Amino acid sequence: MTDVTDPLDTGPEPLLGVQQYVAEWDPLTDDLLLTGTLPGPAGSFVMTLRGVAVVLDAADPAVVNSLMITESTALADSTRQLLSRLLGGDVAGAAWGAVGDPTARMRIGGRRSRRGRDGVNPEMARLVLAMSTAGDAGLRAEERALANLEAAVLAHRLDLQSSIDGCAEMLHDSALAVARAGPLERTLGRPSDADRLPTSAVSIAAALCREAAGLVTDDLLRARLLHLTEPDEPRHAAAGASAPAPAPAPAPMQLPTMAKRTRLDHAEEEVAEAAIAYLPHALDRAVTPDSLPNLIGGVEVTISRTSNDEYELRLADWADRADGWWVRAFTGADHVPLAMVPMASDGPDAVGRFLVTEHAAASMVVDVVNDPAEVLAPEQIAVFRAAVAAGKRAGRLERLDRHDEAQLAWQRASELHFSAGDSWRGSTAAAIAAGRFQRTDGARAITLEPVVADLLAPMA
Amino acid sequence: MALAEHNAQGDTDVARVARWLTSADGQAMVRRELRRCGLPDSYDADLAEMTEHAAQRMADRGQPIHSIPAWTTQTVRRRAMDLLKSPAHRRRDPLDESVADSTLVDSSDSIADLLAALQLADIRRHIGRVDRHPFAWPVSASLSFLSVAIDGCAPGRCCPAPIGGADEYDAAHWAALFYAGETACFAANGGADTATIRQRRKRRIDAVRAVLADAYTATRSEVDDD
Repeated sequence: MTDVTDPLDTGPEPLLGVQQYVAEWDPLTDDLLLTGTLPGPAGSFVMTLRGVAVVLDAADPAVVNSLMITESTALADSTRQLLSRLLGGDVAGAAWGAVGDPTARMRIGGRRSRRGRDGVNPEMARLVLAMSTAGDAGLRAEERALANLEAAVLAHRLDLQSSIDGCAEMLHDSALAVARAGPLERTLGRPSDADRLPTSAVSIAAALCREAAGLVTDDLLRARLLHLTEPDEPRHAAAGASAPAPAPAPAPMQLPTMAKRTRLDHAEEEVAEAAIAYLPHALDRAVTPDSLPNLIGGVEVTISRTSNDEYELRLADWADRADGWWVRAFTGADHVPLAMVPMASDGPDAVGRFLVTEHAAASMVVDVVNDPAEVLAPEQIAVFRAAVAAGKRAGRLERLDRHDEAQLAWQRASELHFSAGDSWRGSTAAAIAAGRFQRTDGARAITLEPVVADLLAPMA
Repeated sequence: MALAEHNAQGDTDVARVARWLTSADGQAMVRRELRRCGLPDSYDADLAEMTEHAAQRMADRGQPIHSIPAWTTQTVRRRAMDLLKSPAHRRRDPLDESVADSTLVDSSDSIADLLAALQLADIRRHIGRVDRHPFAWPVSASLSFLSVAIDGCAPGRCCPAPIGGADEYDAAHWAALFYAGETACFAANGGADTATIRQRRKRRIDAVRAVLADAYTATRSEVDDD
């Protein structure tokens, strides 16, 4: 391995700080890979900027896990400039040295202060966090708009807007969607929940709207954004009044009201087979740990039997989050597809109803996905994804200063990582939960400001 | 004919990906990508299986893989990284209908044959390859149809049923459409079953029958080949 000690860099502070990387070029894919650290028990946050995927550690976003630069033999000037901005000109230059040589593994950067690492710029880390969160499944349309608005505002703060494809459209579209959604209290929660919302969530969102108002070029949109933050201000009130009524949220598919849990016939209740006698327990275990509601909201999903052969997966108060999702049922042994039904709204709840025989139900596996062509994940992988989600939730709770809950979430992540056969991440999560985790360089993990819309642990 | 060539090409790609994954280069690549993400070595088989499934999806969509090593490396790398990310918001865009239309052969008599077939698991697996179809609802409806018509599942109380003059499988088709979320195929509560609704329902049922017939034909030909 070649060792490239970093020369003194007199340029502006790199956005990703000063860290160590191993640079490798993959001749098969033409990717240049800069590997920093292994992703910890909470996995990673990923953001792609003009051909450069930036991967930060979700447990400590000051740490870069890796960078992946695609089509590295034909880098555009704009990508080179971006890399210099992210890594510093010296590190970026050293990394390019690996391109074209499949045998080179160069260690670069971060040697100046022994193993020390200057962390990622907190605003940059927050941008990656915001972009990553804005792409998460399960956000309502107005929440996603707010998350995108936050990402667009942060990108402008860092002057990275030209490195993000469609950033101008993202800013305009998200600002328009937030303005159309009406009062921020409503965007951040249901109207009935408004009085439960902490002022911080609303005030953070209001600050974003004010900043976005300074960035948009459309005067009416600017006034409408300001009207959200200062509804009593007469100058903005006119814009609010002239605005068309909020567009109704896209209506999720409605199913006819269905009788809940109809009583089963006595004859049907008297089943002979032992497996079927344990059906309620089997139904409790049927849902895979990596089903979407488990991963993004930590919601315990249960299935109930509504008639002889009809089963129902219900997510309370998720009617507008699960639009476009699918419930799939497979046989337990060889994962033959038995049913695949869309989730639909049933009042405030999201519901998926499907038909399987009683015998099949006793051993079926059920998951919830947004791409029905996705493969049913092997059990160990499903548990691993649940472990990473628990770690991400713990990180989110730390950002919200809910440390007791964060500790429990780290413990849960630890258990799941051990179950998934990953003892290193299991031990790390346990050490974080116990408050005895130390980075090898002795630096403290940074805690970022929370992003506004994040289903892992809503601000409310 | 075009479809046969298309499938042959697809199957070849899937087999080539699987073969490359078992080669020394392929195994070294999988180990390297696992190490890069700090994932346990024991995940190698699962990652390979997920990659083969991705190759199958490419084949189902009629997309050729030009360089097996490059595509496989990139896919393994992305799959490994995906395990560490939050699940992304994704909407399934309908595929190009022309691909799927060619797979839909209208042979309603095959339904009767289908019910006689014992390769139900293979048929379900074949239907479950969602990427072969431009929309997901016919897949959903076909699986529900099999549950009702072959497994004998009884639909729930709110599932609409034909009143009279219906053939043996009409009720199963109605249930299939209902559970697939195609509720526009039925009159709203108390409403009339208008000609428009009936026409819509018929078109949907024809699409479901075509998916089932295609699955039956494909799985029967696999048996014949064996």
